[in-house]
Amino acid sequence: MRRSQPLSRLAATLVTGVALAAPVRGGAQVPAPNQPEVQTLRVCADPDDLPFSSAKPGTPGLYVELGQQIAHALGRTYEPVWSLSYFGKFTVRTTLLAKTCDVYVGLPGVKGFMGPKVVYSKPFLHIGYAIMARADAHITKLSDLAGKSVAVQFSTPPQMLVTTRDDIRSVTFLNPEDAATALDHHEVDVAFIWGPTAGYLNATAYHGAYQVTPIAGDGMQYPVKVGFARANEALRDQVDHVLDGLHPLVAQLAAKYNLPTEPPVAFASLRDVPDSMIVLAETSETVEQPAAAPPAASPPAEATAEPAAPPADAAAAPAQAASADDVAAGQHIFNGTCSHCHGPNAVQSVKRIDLRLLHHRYGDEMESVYHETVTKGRPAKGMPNWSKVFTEDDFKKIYAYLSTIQND
Amino acid sequence: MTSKFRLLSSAMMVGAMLAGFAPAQAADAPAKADANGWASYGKGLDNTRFSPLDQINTKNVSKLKMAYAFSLASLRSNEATPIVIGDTLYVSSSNGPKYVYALDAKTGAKKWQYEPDIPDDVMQYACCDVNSRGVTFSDGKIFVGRLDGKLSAVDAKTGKELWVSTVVDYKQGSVITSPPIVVHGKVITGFGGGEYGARGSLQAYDVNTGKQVWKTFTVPLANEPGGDSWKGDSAVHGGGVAWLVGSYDPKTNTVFYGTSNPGPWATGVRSTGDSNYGKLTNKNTASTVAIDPDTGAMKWAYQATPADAWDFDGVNELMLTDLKIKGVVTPALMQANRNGFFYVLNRETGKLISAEKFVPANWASKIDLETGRPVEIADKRPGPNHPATDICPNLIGGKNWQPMSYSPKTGLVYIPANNICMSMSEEPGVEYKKGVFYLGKDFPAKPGPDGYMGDIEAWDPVTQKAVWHIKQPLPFNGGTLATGGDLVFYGDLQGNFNAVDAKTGANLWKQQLGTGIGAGPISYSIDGKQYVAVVAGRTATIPAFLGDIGKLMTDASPEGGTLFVFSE
Repeated sequence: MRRSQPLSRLAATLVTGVALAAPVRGGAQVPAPNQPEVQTLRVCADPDDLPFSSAKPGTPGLYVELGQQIAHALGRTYEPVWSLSYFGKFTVRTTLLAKTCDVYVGLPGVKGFMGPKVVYSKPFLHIGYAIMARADAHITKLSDLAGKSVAVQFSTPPQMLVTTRDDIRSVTFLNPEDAATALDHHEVDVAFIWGPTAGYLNATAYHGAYQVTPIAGDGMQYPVKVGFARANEALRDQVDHVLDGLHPLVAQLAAKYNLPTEPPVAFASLRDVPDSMIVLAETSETVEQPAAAPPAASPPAEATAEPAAPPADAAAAPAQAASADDVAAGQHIFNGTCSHCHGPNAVQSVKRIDLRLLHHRYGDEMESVYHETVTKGRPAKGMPNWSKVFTEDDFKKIYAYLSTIQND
Repeated sequence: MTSKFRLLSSAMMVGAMLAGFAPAQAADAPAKADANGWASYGKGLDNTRFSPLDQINTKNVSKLKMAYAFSLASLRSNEATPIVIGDTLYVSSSNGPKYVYALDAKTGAKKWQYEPDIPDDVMQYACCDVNSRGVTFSDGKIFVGRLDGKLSAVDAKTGKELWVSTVVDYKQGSVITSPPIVVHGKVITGFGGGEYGARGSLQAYDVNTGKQVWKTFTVPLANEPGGDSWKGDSAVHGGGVAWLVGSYDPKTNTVFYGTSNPGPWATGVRSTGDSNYGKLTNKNTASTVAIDPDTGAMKWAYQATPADAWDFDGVNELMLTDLKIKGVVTPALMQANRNGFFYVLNRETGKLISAEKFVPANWASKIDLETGRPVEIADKRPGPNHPATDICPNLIGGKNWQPMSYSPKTGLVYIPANNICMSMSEEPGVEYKKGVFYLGKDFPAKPGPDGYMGDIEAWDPVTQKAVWHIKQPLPFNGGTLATGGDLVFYGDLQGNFNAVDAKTGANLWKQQLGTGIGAGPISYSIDGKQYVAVVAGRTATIPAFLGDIGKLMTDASPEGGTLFVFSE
C-alpha cells in the first residue's frame, strides 16, 4: 500500500516567487480593501494516507472530505496543501507552523503533542489500535492471545503490551499494511494494529473477511482534532462552531472509509502489567473514551467506498498527438509567462525548476503532475495557481509544447 | 594543467593514499607522508585530525586573514569536512548534498560542481537534519553518501557521475549523512535510522562498478551468535546503525565503526527494562565493531552501553593512535562516547583499557574494567513505571558527531563536549507517523551542573583527565583541528572561529563567520603556504529536540552555508 506519492513535486519557481505568492494566499487574512473576495481555507493533508487523506479525487479520504465541508460551512474555498507526513511533528512544524496552511485536520488531540504553538478544535473522532482477526478467533482479552503469533507495529503500544507476555509470539512490522498482509497470508494468527487502517484494508482489500475490534487501554485510543497555529485562535473558534453541525457527516465518513465503529473493548491496561515500559502522563485525555463516539448506526452499505474510478478529467486523459499549431501556441504562452521563472524556451540551469526534466522525473505521471501543479499551484514553493489565468485549452497547449522539449 | 604539474599532483595523491594506509607506528607519526594535504574526513583513516603543518603557529596566528570564501548555496546544518587532494579541495553542502564542489584549493576558483538528483521528499525521512559531512577520495574518484540512501561515484577531475548504487531505502527513515571510507578497492558505508525500525548494516561497494561486495548486519538475529541478547523478534528492527564515519588500521587490516542506539525506545520490548538486563544486552548496538574490510566478517565488538535506555548512540568517531600506557606503546582506539565516558581500547584485541567521565555523567558510577560494563545508577535508568529525572548527559550526549582531534605533540585529545541533562519518560508524549499515532518519548533538557552547556576540553587519554577547559554558554559547538603549530582551531554556535594554544587553551585569534559552526576545520599547504579551512552553517533540526535550549541555539546565529579559508 505504501507507494511513493503520486503527487510528486513539480519544480519550484524562484525564491522571490515564494515571497510574492505566500501573502496572497493567507487564508486567515482579511481581504484587501476594495477587493472583497472569497477567502480560501488552506488545508494541509498527506497526499497518500488513506483512509485519512489522498490526492486522488476518487478517494479523497476522511480528513480531506471533512476539510472540504468545514471550508464550505465557513463560506470559504477549500484548497489542499499536500505534504507528506512521515514524521508528523516535523510535518506540522514545516506546514501549519510555517503558515503554508491554515488548518491541519487529524492531529492527536493529546495534551503536550506540539506544545503551546498549536491550538486545537474539539475532538471530532476517536481512533486507535484494534485487533484484526478471523471471525472465529474470539479475542476479547489479552490472555486470548496466549500461544498465538501476533502481528504488531514497531514502537507502538500494542507491541509494548504484547511483548510483556512470554506466551505470545510477537511479529513486528513497520507499518499496518504489511502486518495485515502477514495475517492474510496466514503468517500470523492475529494482527494488533492501527484500527483505521485495519478497517479500511479489511473492506477494500480483504472483502470484510476479518473482524476488527478496537481495543481500549493506555495509549490505545486517541481523540482526533483539527490543529491551528496559535495565532489562528479565532479561526479555531469558528471551526469549533461549525464542527457541531458536522457530527453526522463525520459518522458517515467514518463508515464510508470503514473505520471501526464499535466502542473499544477493555483488553488490558499497560498499567496492570508491571513489566511494561509505559508510564503515561496524567492526562485524562489520553485515556479518554470516545465521548462523542461515532454513531454505531452505519449508513447503508452502498456508502462504503470502493476506490472510485478517477473522474473523466480532460487534462488527465492520455495525450493526443498534439498539432504543430498547438505546440507553437503553447510555446508562445510559455515564453510570455512561464519563462519568467522557468527560462525562455524552458532553458534553465537550476535543475529543480528545469521543465525539460519533467518526463525524466515523473515518467507516465508527467501529465497528471503537470495538470495538478498548474491548476492548484504549489504555494509553498512559489508556484502560483494558474487556473484563473489560463483556460484548460491553454494548459493543453503549454503541455503540448513542453512535451516536445523533454530530455530523458 | 601541465603534464609536469599533473605528475606532481598525482604523486601527491599516491602520497595521500600511502598515508591513509600507513601503520601509525609511534605516537608522533600519524600520516607524515600526507603532511600537506587532508586526505579524508578525519585527515587519515585514523581520524586523528592532526595536521603537522607549523607555518601558522602560536607566535603568528594573530595575523591570520581570510584567503577566500566560497558559498555552498545551501543553508542550514552544513557539517562537511573538506578534503584536499593535491591542489584540489572537495567539499559538500547540506540538503542531499545539494552540491559537491571541486575548487582550486589556493584560490577558491570552482573547477566543477556535482548536483546529485535528490528527490524532493527526502527531508521527510531525515530525522536529524539534511546534512552531509563530506566526501571521500580514492582511485581518482569522489564518493558521496546521500540522503536518499544512495552512494555516488564521480570522476575527481571532471565531476562526471560514474555510478550510483542504492544502499538503503530512505523511505524507511534511513538516510546517509557521512562520507564512506575506501579500503582495498571497496567503498564502505553505513546509514541512519536507528529509531525508525532499521537494522544496522555496513555495506561495501566496488570502487569501479558500484556493485555490492558484502553486507554485514551489526545486529544478530535470533538464530545467530548473540541473537539471544534480544527479546522476541526485536532484533529484526533493532537499530545499531552506523551513521557516522569509520576508521581503518592497516596493520591488522581492520575497519572500525560505532553503532547507534537500539530500537525501539521502549526497553521493555527488547530487554528487561531495568539495570538487571542479564543477557538481554541488545548486541551490537551502542557498540564499536571491528570488521575485516575484505570479507565484511566481524572480528570483535565492544558494547559501551548495554540495553541502552538513553539514546546513547555509540557512533562517535573512533580515533586510532599508539599511546604509551604504563611504559608500553599500546595500539589504542579512543572514543568520546555520547554516554559521557572517554574510552581507550586496545584496537587489536578489543579489550577495554580505561574509561573515565569527560563530562558530568550520573547514569553510571564507573565502567568496570574487567567486564567492560557500566556500573549503573539504577535510579537514572528510565524504565517501566520508572521515569528518571536529571540524567546527565542528555540524549545529544557528552559529545555528538562534531569531531575531536589529537595532537601527538601535546598528547592531548581536543573534545567538543556538551553539558546538558534530561528527564526521560516522565511525560511521554504522542507522536505520529503517517497517520498512525503512538506513544513517544519526552526528554525535557536543561543545562548541566554549573550552568554552562558546552566545553572545548583538552583531555589526556593516558591519565584520563582534563588538562584545560574552554566552557561555552551553548552546546553543539564545532569540531576541532590540532596542528604542528601547537594550535587548536574550533568554531562555536555563535559563529566565532577560534585558534587557541594547544597547551593552555589561551585564545590567540578569532574571527566571526556569521553563522554557527559545527564542522571540523582542516589545514593544508600548497606551494609552501599553509591554509586553514572550515565550513560554517548553523544546525537547524537538533534544536527542535531541545525546547528552550534549542531556542537559544537557533537565536545564537543565522543559518548559513559557506566555506572559509584562511592564510597569512
